[in-house]
Amino acid sequence: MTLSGSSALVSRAPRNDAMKAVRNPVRVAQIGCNGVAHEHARAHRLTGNTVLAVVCDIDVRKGESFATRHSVPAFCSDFDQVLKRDDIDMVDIVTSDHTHADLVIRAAQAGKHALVEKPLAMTALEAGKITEEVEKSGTLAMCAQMMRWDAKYRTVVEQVHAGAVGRPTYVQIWGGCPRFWSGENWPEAASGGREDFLLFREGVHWMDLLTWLIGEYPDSLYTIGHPGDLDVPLWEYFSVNMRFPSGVLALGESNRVVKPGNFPFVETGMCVVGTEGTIALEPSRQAGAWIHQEEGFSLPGYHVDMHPIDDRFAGEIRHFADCILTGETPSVGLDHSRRVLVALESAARSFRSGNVEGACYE
Amino acid sequence: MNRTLNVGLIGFQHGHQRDYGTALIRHAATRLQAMAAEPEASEFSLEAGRTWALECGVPFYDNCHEMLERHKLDAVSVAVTAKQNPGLVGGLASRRIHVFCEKPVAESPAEFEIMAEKISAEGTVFSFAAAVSVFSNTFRPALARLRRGEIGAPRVAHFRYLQGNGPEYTLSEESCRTARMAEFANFGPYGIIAFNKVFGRLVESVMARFASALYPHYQKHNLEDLAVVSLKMEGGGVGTITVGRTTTPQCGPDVRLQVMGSKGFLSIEQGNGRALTLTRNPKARRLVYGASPVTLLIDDFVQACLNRETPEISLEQARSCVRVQEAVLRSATEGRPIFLKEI
Repeated sequence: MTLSGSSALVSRAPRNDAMKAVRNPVRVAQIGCNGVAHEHARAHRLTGNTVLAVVCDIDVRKGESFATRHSVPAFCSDFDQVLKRDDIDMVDIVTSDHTHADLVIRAAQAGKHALVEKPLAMTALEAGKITEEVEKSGTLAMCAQMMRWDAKYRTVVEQVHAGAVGRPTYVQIWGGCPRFWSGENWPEAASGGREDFLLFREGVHWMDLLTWLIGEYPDSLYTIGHPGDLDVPLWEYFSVNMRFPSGVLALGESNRVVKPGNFPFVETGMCVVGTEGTIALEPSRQAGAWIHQEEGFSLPGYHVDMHPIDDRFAGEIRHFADCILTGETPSVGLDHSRRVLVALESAARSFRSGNVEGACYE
Repeated sequence: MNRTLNVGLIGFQHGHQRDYGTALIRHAATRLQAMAAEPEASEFSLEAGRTWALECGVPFYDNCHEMLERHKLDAVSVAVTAKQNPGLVGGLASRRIHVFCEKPVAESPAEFEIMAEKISAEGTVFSFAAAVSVFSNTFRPALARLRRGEIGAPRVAHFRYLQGNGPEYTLSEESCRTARMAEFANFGPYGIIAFNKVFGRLVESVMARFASALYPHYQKHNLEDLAVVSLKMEGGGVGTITVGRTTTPQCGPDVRLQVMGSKGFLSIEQGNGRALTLTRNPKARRLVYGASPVTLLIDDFVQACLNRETPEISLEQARSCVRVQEAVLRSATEGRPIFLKEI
């Protein structure tokens, strides 16, 4: 599927009676207007195969303002009304984490394809229910893992998969904390006050990347953490020490303990040691440009001003829309996303118990 | 007080004796008296020692006890195996001789205590070869700024030491037969000392995993080429240490330390020191400029001997390293976190 696309109906094998044809570009309703929702709205202008037709949020004032800012023609405050619209093929769910499972299931039941911001769900059990409902409906759903469409991480994974370092024996992923939490802005509703929320919240990024790279899931996990600042009731740092079935060792990190201005850590670093070589992705070297101000370092254009080809949000949306149009299976499978949650739940158990924990993926 | 130390060297099997020995000999406050072979020295070691002694114009002894009988030495640089250290270093301490020692210092905490007891009883100075994470020209100023509280209280630290050039510099097949650990014993102390210096506390517990995927002789003897260790420090800090020997030709090891504090963040990306890169076939080389970590480490040792002070890398640091190493080995073997109080 090319990036360009005129408005036309595309025929493909129907998944069920409700899904006989899809428009190209795919018509999208974006659900949610906070935070990364702006990146999604902007990215829809870059995909070439989607058009943002409706934006939906329970906050009318915020939703209308969002629609105006991003030139979205319609706003709706009722998700069920969105699902009833015949001119919508796909929902792009960018709401609080704890609402994801319910919204994806309702979308599937209404015959709408669903791209959902990570995490797919709050628990592996919820993710399993999503998988069942989506399969039953014949629609497609995918957890948005934008790091997979970031050229630097993708290049590391592609190099490893191509055998550039031989068989991997050790993988470390660290950093990646563009924002931090304070007493005013910590995610109270999304976290439900769980002190290990960050492990889960950031872990869905790096655990996805790690398991995609290695091609299997950890069977032994050990987690350490640090509470960070006392004005935030959530722990601000976790490191998970893992062993994979093939013997690969790995470290993954969920980190908001570093404060703004500590430049290198706003990007994610990777190190892969293999039987025939190593790959290093250095946070401080990959940015290419940075700004040093009185309050510290920052990156110009973090999350913005990327070329459409490079934009990671546009990349994930474009891929999912391509799958809708062609009937292909999305590269981030629902069962994979469920397994990522299983692994993170094991890591959280380890944090609580102080012991090494196994993981059961079936 | 005599401001010149009469020094000797023992053991030449290990190539690093050249580095430590040279720094000791060249120090303005030392006078080289003699060199001697270690017990059960190989032909290689004997020949290396004889040649070097000839170059320096000092006597060489096949038996180190003979050297100790004939010369009144203040300090000795010892580069022998971890198994030989407790007996030899303990014996030197009993003669009230200060010791600078190649790592690994001992194979177990019990063996370490044999020599530590004698060193403490005689009040001699002991230091050992873990220069990088204290004396490199990147670590040294960084640790000083940490001590001044510039990033607040350290909370999380990561240390990585990936040396390349395997399998050329791996343990020999013969050494593998008796070794309990391979690359963690070699490079782990750098990380342990870095953690002790950063947090100003000792390690409380470790959870370690060993990989043995790169070298058949390591696999045969169940020894690690790479170790990944999660640590909890007394007082609440946490972190990881990753050390290993990779297969690639490398111009110096990949040494780094990241420390996240309550008020800031410290990152050392060139832990081996600021350096120039010289590109020339068959491979590039890193040329660390300024005083080398080894020179500074030896100077610290000499000053400690002269002034009867505790050196920067001390007996207590050695004890910490040996105990953490033992905990790491047990953790990797048993697959569970090990608290240092269990050691």
